[in-house]
Amino acid sequence: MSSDALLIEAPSWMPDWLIAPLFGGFSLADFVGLFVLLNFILFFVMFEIWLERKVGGHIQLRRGPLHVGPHGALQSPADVLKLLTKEDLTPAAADKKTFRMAPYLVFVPVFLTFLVIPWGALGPIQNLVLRPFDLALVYLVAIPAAQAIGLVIAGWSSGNKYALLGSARFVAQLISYELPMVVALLGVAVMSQSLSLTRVVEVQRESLWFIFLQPIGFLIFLIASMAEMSRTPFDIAIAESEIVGGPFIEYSGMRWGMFFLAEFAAVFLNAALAVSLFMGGGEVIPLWDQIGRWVPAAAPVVDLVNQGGVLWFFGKTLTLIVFIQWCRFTLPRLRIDQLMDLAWKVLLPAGFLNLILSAIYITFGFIPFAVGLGLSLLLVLFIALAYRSRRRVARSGIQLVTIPQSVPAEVATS
Amino acid sequence: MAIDVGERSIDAFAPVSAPAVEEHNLDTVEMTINMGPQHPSTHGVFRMVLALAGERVQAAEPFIGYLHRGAEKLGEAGDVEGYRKAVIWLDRTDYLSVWPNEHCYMMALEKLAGITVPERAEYLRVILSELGRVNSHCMFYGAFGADAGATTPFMYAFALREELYTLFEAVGGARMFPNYFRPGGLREDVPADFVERVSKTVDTAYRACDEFEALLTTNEIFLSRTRGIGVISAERAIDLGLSGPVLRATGIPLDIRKVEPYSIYDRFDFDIPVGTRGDCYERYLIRLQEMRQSLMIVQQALRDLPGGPIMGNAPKAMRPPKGDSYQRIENARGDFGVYLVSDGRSAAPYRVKYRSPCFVNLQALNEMVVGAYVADAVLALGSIDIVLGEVDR
Repeated sequence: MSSDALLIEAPSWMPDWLIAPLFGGFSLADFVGLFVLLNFILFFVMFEIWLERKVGGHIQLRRGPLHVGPHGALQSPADVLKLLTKEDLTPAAADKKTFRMAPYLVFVPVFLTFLVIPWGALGPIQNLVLRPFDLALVYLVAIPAAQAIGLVIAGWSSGNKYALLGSARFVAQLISYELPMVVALLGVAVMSQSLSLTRVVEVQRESLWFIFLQPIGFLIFLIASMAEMSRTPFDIAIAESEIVGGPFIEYSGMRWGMFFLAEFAAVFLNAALAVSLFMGGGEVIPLWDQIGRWVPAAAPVVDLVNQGGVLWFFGKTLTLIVFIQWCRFTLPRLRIDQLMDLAWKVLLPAGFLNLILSAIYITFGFIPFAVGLGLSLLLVLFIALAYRSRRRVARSGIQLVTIPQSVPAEVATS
Repeated sequence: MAIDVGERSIDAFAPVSAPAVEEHNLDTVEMTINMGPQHPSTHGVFRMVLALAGERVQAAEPFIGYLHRGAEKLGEAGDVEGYRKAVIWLDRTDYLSVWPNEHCYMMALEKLAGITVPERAEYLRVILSELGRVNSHCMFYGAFGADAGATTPFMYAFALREELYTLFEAVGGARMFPNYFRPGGLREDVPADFVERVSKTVDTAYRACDEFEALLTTNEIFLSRTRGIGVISAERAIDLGLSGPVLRATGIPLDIRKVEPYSIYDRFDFDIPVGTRGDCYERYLIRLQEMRQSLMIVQQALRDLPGGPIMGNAPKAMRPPKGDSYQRIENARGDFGVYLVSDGRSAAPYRVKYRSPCFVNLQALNEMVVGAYVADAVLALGSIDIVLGEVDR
């Protein structure tokens, strides 16, 4: 596929000079788009960090940042300034060049994945997307996986055993969770008969959000993406209480800030992906477009609401982000063997079950699929209830022992 | 660094024997990592050197002494008010379980000097000691949650601790190191609104205990992380001389407050939580139950709190007759003891010796962590609930 083939049909309102190939097949519009996207991500990440600290604060009986700006809104810019002015230390034992390179190798893949996300409609623009790439589903699995290289380099070049242990954990985790994620995406691809993210969103708007048709796939995707981001409860690679920050232990200043940026950008990315893949992209509520088709009188309202697709997209993305943050502030951390068990023994078989169900839907239609899905969900419910009763047994582990005491006579009378 | 674990050698736990490693004759190296003294989850300045095969701990060697300040020797060094000054150093050893420890020291001194304590002072001592135990278990809860990777328990625990410290401040004038108990009674009487304040704090603490439980106790991840981890059998626990929740988790209902009642503990109605398996999870459950039992004791003591003097027949200048005395109590971590020797002449004790439960309980660490994962080693250490100030003294 040549680079020209990758270029999309530009919207009609774009003048020629904006979309003419300028440099290596990229047009001016591409560069402007990249610039805007990069800056948008940087600002969004700052907002996200503030949000996380606020959400975390309120969960933890605190108030979060409060003093820098109204409700601490300027806390993140202040932190960025602090990181920029901090000394950029390179440990003596480090492999200098690779040590300095690693943060970029971690951030760039995350940033590149943003290119294929369809942000939804913004006014006259039908679908805001930098590259509506036909193989987007393959792309968004392949590119973030390149993060592993950066993490290995970061851990190895630090010359620190904790960092090495952390990066080994990171890579093991990343590779293990790639598989269930791919299988979950396969379900989506089968349902939408396409590997294009834009098409996936369109199919959802034509039928029903995949979160309802693929609930198992959605859960797998959510868990696997949280594991890939190494967020609590899957943060074994960072594990403050065991390996003290893992691969990032030796980093300081803005280099550490890059890892931090990559982590939060990945949270944003995965939430945005989950919205595109399972929650109908820019559609405001499930079946909204159908309402327009069924009730012609409501069509103008439907169209008006659809023009603000980006808003709905971000609303849903933020909801998911808050959910991920909620998990972070509530759950303890899994151990590495339990983490691997979850990936290989639970998520992967569940992913295949989901894939089979999707195939049933495509081949035999909705009714057999619904029956199969119902049975699968019953199975999941049964397993959950079994776990619940196991928990009750665990709680009864301790007992209260009453030791009778003979009260001495002189005390009893006093 | 060579690590010698003695007879319990590494081959009891099979080293890595992946077929691929053997087939290709790959070189596998045991990694030695140094945990501490600067490490977030070594609870102070504890240090252990772990030999790892992959993620498994093959051998562990603990190092202590980074916080040794010679608290016992300093206790013997006072000139004028030596017997009263020693307790200041005692406060700084176990900085979480301060109230019970002060109580213990005063009882040892009173035994030595033949001082009697008025009823009101005894009740207030029990109330404050039990609140001190709650405070210490709060800290355990927070730190254990953090060891398990959850950040919120720490904040929940500190909300209650803040409440308790505010109360302690109102009573003794200081938050952490009250130095409030005196031989023969208390330094001064409690504030007028003491009873209401404590009852309010007790209610808050009951609610907080429920919140603590709701957050962690039935969490599936927490369960799978802590159950069956760091197991010590009852026989082994006795062999090692463990005490406190670590011992009671193995199923032995040994609590000094019951088996050798001191002060006025025989007047209160409370139970002893014991476990069956002796793992991290049961140690956690026992501490949470003990918080509730302590609060029950506080409520009973508040109900019966008599009026009257708070100071007994203690002489101004302490010069106990020649002899020695030993007093043991159940503090938040286990069997704490104070041994005092008087030469009958000087104003300071001739010898001060503290029997610190953490120091003894820490012996069990090696058995808990060898063969476990690194993550479990952190939890096992957390479940012993050490305070380094007390281990090193």
